[in-house]
Amino acid sequence: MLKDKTKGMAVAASMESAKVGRIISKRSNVGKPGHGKRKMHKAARKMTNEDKLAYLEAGGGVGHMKHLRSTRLGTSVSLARSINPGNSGNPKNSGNPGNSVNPGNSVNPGSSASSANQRSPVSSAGSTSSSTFSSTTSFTHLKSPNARTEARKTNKEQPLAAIDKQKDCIPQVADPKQELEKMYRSVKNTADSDKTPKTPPKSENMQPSMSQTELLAQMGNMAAFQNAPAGFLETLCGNLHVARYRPEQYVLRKRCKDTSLHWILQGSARLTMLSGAGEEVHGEICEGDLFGEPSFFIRGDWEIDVVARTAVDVAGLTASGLARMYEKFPGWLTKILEAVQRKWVVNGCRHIEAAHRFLCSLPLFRSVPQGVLRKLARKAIFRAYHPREYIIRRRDLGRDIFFIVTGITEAFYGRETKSRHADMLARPISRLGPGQHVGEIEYLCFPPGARPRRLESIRTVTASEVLRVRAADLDMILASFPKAYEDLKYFAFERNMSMWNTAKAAACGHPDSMPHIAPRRGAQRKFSLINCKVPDNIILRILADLGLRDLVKCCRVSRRWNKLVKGSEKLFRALDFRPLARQLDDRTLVSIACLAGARPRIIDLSGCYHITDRSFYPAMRAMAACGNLAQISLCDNWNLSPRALIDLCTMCGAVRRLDLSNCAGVTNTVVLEIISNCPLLEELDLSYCKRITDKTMAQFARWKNPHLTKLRLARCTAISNTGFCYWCSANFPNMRELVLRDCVSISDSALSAIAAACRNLTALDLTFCCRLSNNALAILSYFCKGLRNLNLSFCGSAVSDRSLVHLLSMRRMSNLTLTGCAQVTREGVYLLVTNCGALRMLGVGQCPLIDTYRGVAQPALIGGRGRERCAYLKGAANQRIRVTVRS
Amino acid sequence: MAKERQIVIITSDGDKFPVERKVAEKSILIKNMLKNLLPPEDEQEDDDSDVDVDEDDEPIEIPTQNVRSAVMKNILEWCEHYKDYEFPDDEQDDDSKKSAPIDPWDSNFLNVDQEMLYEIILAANYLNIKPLLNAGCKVVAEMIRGKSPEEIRKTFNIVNDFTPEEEAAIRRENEWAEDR
Repeated sequence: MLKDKTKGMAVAASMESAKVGRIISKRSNVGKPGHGKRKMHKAARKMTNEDKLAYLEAGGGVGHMKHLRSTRLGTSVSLARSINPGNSGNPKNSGNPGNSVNPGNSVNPGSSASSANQRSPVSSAGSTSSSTFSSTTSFTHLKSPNARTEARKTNKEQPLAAIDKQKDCIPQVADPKQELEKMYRSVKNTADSDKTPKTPPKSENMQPSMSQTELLAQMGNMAAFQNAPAGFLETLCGNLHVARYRPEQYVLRKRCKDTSLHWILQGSARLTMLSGAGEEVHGEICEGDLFGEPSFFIRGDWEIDVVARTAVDVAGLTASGLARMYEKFPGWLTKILEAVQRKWVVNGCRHIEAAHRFLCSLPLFRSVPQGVLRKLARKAIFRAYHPREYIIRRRDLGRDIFFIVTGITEAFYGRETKSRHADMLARPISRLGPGQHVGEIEYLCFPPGARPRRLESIRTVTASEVLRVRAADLDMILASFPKAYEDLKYFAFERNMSMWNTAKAAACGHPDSMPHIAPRRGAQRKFSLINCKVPDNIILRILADLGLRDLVKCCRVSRRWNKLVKGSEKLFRALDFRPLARQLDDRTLVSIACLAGARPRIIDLSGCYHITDRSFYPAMRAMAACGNLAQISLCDNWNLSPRALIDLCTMCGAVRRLDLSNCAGVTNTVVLEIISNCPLLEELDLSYCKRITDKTMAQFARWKNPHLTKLRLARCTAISNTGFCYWCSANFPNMRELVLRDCVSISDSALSAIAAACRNLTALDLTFCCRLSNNALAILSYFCKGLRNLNLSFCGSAVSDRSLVHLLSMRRMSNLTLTGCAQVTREGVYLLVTNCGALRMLGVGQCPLIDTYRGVAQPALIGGRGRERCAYLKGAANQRIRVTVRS
Repeated sequence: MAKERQIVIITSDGDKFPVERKVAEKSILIKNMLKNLLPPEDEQEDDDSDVDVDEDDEPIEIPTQNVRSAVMKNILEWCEHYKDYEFPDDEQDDDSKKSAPIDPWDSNFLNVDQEMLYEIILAANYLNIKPLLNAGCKVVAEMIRGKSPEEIRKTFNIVNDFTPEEEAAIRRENEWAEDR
């Protein structure tokens, strides 16, 4: 991989040099006529050349600049000089100086000896002398292509050496000095091979914006050039390409092959990346800032978009421009570049730091010591991706592993087609988030050194950052840490078993694959079938069957289960606290509420009498956050204050069913809050709330909640007859079920008000309403003809054989309870049984006169077993009526 | 008459299972498929399956690529057992479904090794046999119920991929569930 990269760099460099060659040949042509004494200066020029190399070895200095002081902008003496002297003197011998081809010379002490030789004025005919010194290289350079490749090879090796030297402290960058030198050489090499005039670079978007003098002033103002030697700025300006960009125009686009250094002369620009969420601004650069150094040093693609914010002038210095500058100001330029590189390396180290921290956080590398991971981090490659960009394409070659640092990616397991569009049609098989990795299946199934085809495509969903770890680096680490290897295998298997099998089958055909896959002794692990086979939606179905306590325990099983329990909308919809009622205290309630969040629709806190206001309010606020609560049961919560219940009502506006039975905190105010805040309320249970009085009934009559279908007021003994009479002005068309059990104060007048308000009642419980008279049933039969369930237990004075006649008009009556009605005799029962076609159940327990005959024929007894307390009678419509005799 | 035509289910391994229509229609997937394939006037609307309906004598072949023979055998046994039973179609009544215990026959039927159990669940999901899917899920839920996280991991061979700190944090959050 590394070699590939260097090769790429070499190629880029040679391309660059071809371009530069054109530039230089043009300039030399310009320089020639104005410089007649060139022959005389040949030796001296040669010397300058060698001087430069020697100078480099010595570490550089400013003094050297004296030679070149006469330089002026653009086409001057010194520029002509910078070109290969052989060229100007003897065109045949073009591109010759061998030392420049062989980089070894510049470092090698031997070369300084030769340069010392050259410096002596012995060589009056420069071209010949140079060929004698470096005959091996220069001649072969001209004649044999082998030498050229050899030269390229040495070129290639140089950055490697540089990397070796520095790889423990900085990212893989060549020394700026060597980089410059290389550049310079390549410029010289190609200078003469191509003499076509050079076209100005990047012409399309450019409008020359400022004069040279302005430019000079601008550059001189920059801090970096404050102490520049004389002539430096002029030369620099001569090599700069100045361009003006309009606001919002791209200065540099991601992935463009630009290795220049850029300065901003005026205006500002921003560094951005486009993502699904829009433009993401990574930073801003303004007047005087330098940018472009990363791609300059790695010779890689530009990684980020630079967009002009205001109108912006950018001065660009290309690599060839730098090389020309280097000719004249080697020391200064090296110094500047070193500073730039230092700044960049600090940034690079930050990257390594981040990569290291990221790798340490992975569960995969738990068993690997930090030092080893640091080495790995140094070699890993950070890269940012746009949304919907491919990280791996199916059928690509390689077995590197990609760790996702940020963002979301998805994997496609495309079909066996060669068309690239197949991926677009394929459905993503899995989504991967930060901390997960891809490419591990190919890594595991194929031996080191293999380059298998990828089985899946990986594409980003959002803008993502990915850390690429090379297979070779990982091989070394995993060889010494089998635990991490096993973990990797385990994760891979779990993530996609079918792909694992495919990869294994493919690897079987590979000659040396088997030893790699062979299971290690003692490390065999049975894979978790449930995690491998069962998809999330089915696991959620399983978890939905569990109670609260088991669900909470599942949080701790593994990351996947934790994520499912905590994140899935399908769980915690109905929170049933009843199994925990006794131990449920304030702390527990809050912790469950935090876990459940706003997911619950139904909350049943029945019998959880330890709960107090302290936890109730925060817990309810957490669970009611989205207004999803539809059903709340607070039966028997004695400790809740009226204040807490009022708060609850204000939070849960969408509640449909509310059970407040036996809550001591329920007062008139609470009920008023409920019926005024919860317009959707359908069922309300206020049984055993003894603090509610006539006022509440008046409020009901006033608010007339339209959806109210069930109301239970059992044993609300504080409500008087007057209270119920308020309902004469109300109308509850939807009211179906009313429980007035033990409301002992109800008289006939109250009953008529209630019945008139709720004409569509189907169920009514009037147990122990002892004040009702004989007219009560007549009133009911007049208003509520649709009653199906009626409980008149212990309404002694209201129920007699005579009043039961009124019930016959209720055609749907199916369940009638007359327990404890002392006046009912066998005759009344017979009346009902023979006339009510819908009757199914009849309760006549504790009726002392039930066995009294009045000369009427006994209805047919059609069933009933001895020990049961009921009999089955045949009714009017041949239906079976269950008659409960004792209760 | 179209109704007499035989239905053959083909599994992923290529085995053929001839079944009664009533049995096959326990699977809503197959039921819908047959509805399209077997209208009274034998109109073919569904082009997805490569069933040949030109001749009435030929059995209808239903390919089920996701189910292997051993699993299909179990599924058909279940369908056979319930072929005369109409399951109530209660989608909204979640509560009663949840609280209902597993039918003893089902729990006996699903007393198989984990791999087969999951495959039955997946096949029931694929073939859209809700009652079987529910029963399967309940059996798995029963394996989880009342166990500590460690025991759950052991039951399902799940690796604890939390760091000790993370696990301690989760344990602290839900302390109440631990003591018993």
